[in-house]
Amino acid sequence: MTAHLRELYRTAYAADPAAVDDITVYEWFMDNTQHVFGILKEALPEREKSVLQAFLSPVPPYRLYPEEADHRWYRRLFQTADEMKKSYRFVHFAIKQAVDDYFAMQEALRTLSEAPAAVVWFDDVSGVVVLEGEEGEHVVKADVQAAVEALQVDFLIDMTALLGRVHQPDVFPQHASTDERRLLHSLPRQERVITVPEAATHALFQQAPKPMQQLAASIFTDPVDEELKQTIAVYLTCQMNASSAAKQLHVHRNTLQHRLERYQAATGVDLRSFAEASAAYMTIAAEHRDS
Amino acid sequence: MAELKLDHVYKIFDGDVTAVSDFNLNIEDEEFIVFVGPSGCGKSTTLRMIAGLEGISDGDFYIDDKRMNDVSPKDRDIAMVFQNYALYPHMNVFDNMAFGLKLRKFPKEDIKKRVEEASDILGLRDLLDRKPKALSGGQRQRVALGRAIVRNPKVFLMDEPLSNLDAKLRVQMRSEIIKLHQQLKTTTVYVTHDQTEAMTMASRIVIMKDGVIQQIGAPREVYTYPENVFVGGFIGSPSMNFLTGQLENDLFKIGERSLKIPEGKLKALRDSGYESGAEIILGIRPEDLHDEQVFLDTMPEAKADVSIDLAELTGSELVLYTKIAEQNIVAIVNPRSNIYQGDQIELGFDLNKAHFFDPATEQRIKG
Repeated sequence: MTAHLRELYRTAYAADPAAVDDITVYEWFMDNTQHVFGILKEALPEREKSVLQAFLSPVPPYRLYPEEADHRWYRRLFQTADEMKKSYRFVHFAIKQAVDDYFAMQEALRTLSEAPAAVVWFDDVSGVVVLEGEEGEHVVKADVQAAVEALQVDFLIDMTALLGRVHQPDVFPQHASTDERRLLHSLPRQERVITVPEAATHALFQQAPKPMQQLAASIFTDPVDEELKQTIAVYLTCQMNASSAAKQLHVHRNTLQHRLERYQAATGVDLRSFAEASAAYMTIAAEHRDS
Repeated sequence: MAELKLDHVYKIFDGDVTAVSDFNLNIEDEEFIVFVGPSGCGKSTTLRMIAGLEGISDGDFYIDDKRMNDVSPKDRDIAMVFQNYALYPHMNVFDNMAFGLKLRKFPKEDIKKRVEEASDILGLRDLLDRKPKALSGGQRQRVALGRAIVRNPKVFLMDEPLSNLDAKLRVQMRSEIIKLHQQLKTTTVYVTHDQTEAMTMASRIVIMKDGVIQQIGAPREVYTYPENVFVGGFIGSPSMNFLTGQLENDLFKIGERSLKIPEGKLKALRDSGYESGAEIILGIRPEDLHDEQVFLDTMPEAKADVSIDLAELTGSELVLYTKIAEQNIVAIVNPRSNIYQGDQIELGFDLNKAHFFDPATEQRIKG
């Protein structure tokens, strides 16, 4: 079919989105062999466009540059799953605004693993990178953080990501993805990258009824100011290691110690108690996300 | 090359949390401006507004007289360097540096030339084939700088780029960034919590607290003439000493002790309406306290007997910790002075170099 269309539209036909200067002047379609091609908008009257749309799948800009692996994972995530042999891991991402160059964006996202990773877009501002086998097992949060910051610098976008868990091949990708994607929204405001266990902790707290959250706030955060709240949040994320927390907060260890004492005096919360410390952490994180 | 102007800029999150308030600043072409302040003071938020990563809630932001509030970040011709090494983990150094140029459709030859030039400047020429994991922390941060340099943007925005480096490397990279700026002359906005970085690198410093600018000035100016107690305490290490006492005729009384206030300072206090009996804060730098006999002889009315709680010899200086009327004092004196913990000494106050602050407003009394 594409051969006919190529003949019909000649110079208005584009066989490869990566080879054109401006993708926005084309209408893009995918045939049943998953080949993507474009036809110049000015050469495509409304009636012809409707006919093509009836027989072919229109392709939005963020799905213009699929590799074989992308197709495979698109099917696994949106259609039917095939038999898989390797474990897999998702890096879910979301950006605040659409980008101009999805081709370059995808190129960069693929470098999250040694071998080019599969990328599947859910819409123009979110998607998932799939790391298979050992690639997924070896990736750590710091790698994702470095890549997200590099993407932010290059594309000047605000980006957040969630590093998913390693799933064995018998786990249905659609379920794994849906569950994890939900967690991306529980990211506290000051964080850019979060892992599943971290996100689950925050999500749990969000599920608590509002009056319970307010009660927790009245115990753990209301009696203290922003500076003290931030200090406690950093202290707890540093596994209660005073030296690392002081370094991250750029204050002297004694200053930190003094603030911890102030917090204890104002709230009566004993941060040496695991139960109280974890509840304090979740309450503070929830406030950061809401504000 | 670019001039930046922030005019009554505010950042208000979700309608009620004011992160930055009435920020006014003109940044001149080729300037190296440093925003400094404690965490949560709004310095990074301001930088992100300049980058366009955060929207401006109120006020105007201009680059070269063009209003930028609604201009997309990618069209502002800026390059950012972050605290963490913003590198693609599986790209080698060359590709990491080249990526931003590829994205902007630079010709291949041009990309190669720019990456090679930048790698020469940063001493990365032999590392172009390496992946980030095979680099040291300092080398990674150099690559991150290289990614910004190759773009040759109008403005560099750097957000705590040296925070993750160890102390020695930080000092080394600090001077490298200064040299780089002297060479490239690109207008730079640099955010740090570290007052030493601010003092050593900035052409002008913007000191912030709670989203509000406390003072803008050249390093020497903010060090010598702090506008308020916060600036005096934040800039300088060890910090400025603050002693609360009373004005009594021409004397500053702290407990039982009194120091004679020099004529000029006294006039300033009187002109500002401070009369005998008024409570005021004396701010004096540790290096303006003296143990030398010559000083004590020439300023006999500006000295106090103190007991030394701790004497720390750092090598180049001797740091003395003491108290007057339960208020802590730190003095830096000649390392050759033979002073030890428990000694009783006379400490001279060079009040010509000191400042007085209002205890209610904490502003410097200028007269």
